[in-house]
Amino acid sequence: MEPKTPLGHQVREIWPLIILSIILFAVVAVIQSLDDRIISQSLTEGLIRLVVVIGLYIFVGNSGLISFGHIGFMMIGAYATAWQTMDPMTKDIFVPGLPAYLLANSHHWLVATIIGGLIAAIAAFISGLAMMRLSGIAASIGTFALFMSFYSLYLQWSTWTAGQSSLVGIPVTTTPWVAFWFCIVAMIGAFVYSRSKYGLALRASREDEVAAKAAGVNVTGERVISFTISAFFVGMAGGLYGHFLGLLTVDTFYLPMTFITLSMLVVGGMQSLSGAVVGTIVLSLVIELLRKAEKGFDMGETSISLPASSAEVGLGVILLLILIFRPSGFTRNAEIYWPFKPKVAVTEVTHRQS
Amino acid sequence: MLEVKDLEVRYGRLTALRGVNLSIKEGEIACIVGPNGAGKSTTLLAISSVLTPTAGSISFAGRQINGTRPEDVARLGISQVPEGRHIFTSLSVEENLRVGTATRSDKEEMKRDYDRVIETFPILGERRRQSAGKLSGGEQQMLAIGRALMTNPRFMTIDEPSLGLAPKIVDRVYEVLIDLREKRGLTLLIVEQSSERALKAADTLYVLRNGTIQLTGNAADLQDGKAVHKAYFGFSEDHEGEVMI
Repeated sequence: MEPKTPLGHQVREIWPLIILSIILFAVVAVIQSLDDRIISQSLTEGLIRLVVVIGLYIFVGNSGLISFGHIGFMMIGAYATAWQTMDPMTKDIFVPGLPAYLLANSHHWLVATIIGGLIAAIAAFISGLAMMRLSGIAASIGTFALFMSFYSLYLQWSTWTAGQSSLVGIPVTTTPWVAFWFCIVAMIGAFVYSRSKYGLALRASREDEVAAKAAGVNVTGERVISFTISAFFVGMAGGLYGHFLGLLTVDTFYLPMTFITLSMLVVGGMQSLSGAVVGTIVLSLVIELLRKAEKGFDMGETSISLPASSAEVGLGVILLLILIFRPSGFTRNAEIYWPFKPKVAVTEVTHRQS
Repeated sequence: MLEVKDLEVRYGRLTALRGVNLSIKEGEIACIVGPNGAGKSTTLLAISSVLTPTAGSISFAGRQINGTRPEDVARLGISQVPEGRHIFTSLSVEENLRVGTATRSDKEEMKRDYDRVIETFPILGERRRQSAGKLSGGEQQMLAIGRALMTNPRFMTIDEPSLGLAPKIVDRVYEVLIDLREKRGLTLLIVEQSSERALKAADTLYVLRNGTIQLTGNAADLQDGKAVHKAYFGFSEDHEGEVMI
């Protein structure tokens, strides 16, 4: 394989990762330089969502199965993290059902977030063993059923989750830069996984399940691996989210969150990491702008504002347009191109048969 | 090298193969020809252990292989190029080749086999970053063969390599297959619809119809095509004009 400059090759191999990190860094740096608290909060929220979407991509993009269940793992991660970081004093009041160890101790938020992700991953692994035997639409409906079970469970489990009321007193530790670094880690994780032999085997099964099996790929096993890794990142994003809001309600992790994150992935292009990142950035911007417009702009004497819920309608319209005109998303499921033309380009044309 | 004795395969109540016998020598090219639904693909699937025979035996290099798992059959050195190629269209050419080695973990050998495949099919090397769906039909067939070669087989079965390809490209595919036998000493079992094509390429020809072998012979002795025609269609060429009921 063209061994001229090994470093150049390595750069080319991880090019999408490099360029996406640069884009993301630029976005965060520019927005942070505005020094506006409200905008900075929207940025943090967007970055946390990006971790969710990247997590979602690890499973959906590589397996080709749509999951409606990942926000359930986000919820599991969010609560698991909060249980560890809340002040022991408030735990007695809100979540008296926690085990004695958790009631008496608290962990650093970073440790807690990683453990929260691991707990979400364990939940995904166990449920995945059963769920991942399904294929196609049955698998998607299965993940939705799973999501509804988790949701109902957490809603009723009031001694651990405060049930229908909210869990307050979670330390607010998630800054834009914290969220940014989690995005970078999630991108590296997603990139390395999808190019590993496990990711490759799963992508092959996405293309042609029968042929992949014939090539010796254990399709169910590969799906479980991917489901677990993906839940780990989504669970950590849940942890970040709790430490961004400072409070948790079960309702936060319901259908709106599910569909917004899925739309971002679909709009960007489900089968590429670039798609996950681009989709999240673009849709977040659009949603923010529409929200702004709902509140109204002042133009001299008059103030123009869009009707309420314009953001949701706008999101729907964009999703429809993308599905009609560019069903494989902004990126057409490809990663961002290597910008330098390869030298073999000319000979390729002449070799083309039939 | 491969001995198939009294092979019987059923799909539910339907009997697809009723007593198929093959005897394939090391280094030869054997062709199975026959009309649609004769059981050609079924025979290949049974050999790679994707289907479990209801009766009969298959042995490879002196070892009985029916009843073993498909992965293990592959590990013994039998590789299959499936009908319709079944390449992974949105994966790159290189990734397609790497899937063929998903079950292996010896990196050194994998690299060596990869380089060898690229040497055999330079076009795949030039296009290794392209998505496989963008290759032409002929190139896709080369890729499917290349992928099967990645497991470093001694014996390869190819199901209808000419399917959906222009005659010129089919010529090229057969050149490649014959080359593989010459250069790598590979033993090949090819399923083909066209008896003419098969007679040109094969050392030994089997005509399969209705789940039984109608004719086995040295391809050199069958070149006039009459016996093959009779076995293939169930009537001889002289009666071609008649209506068969």
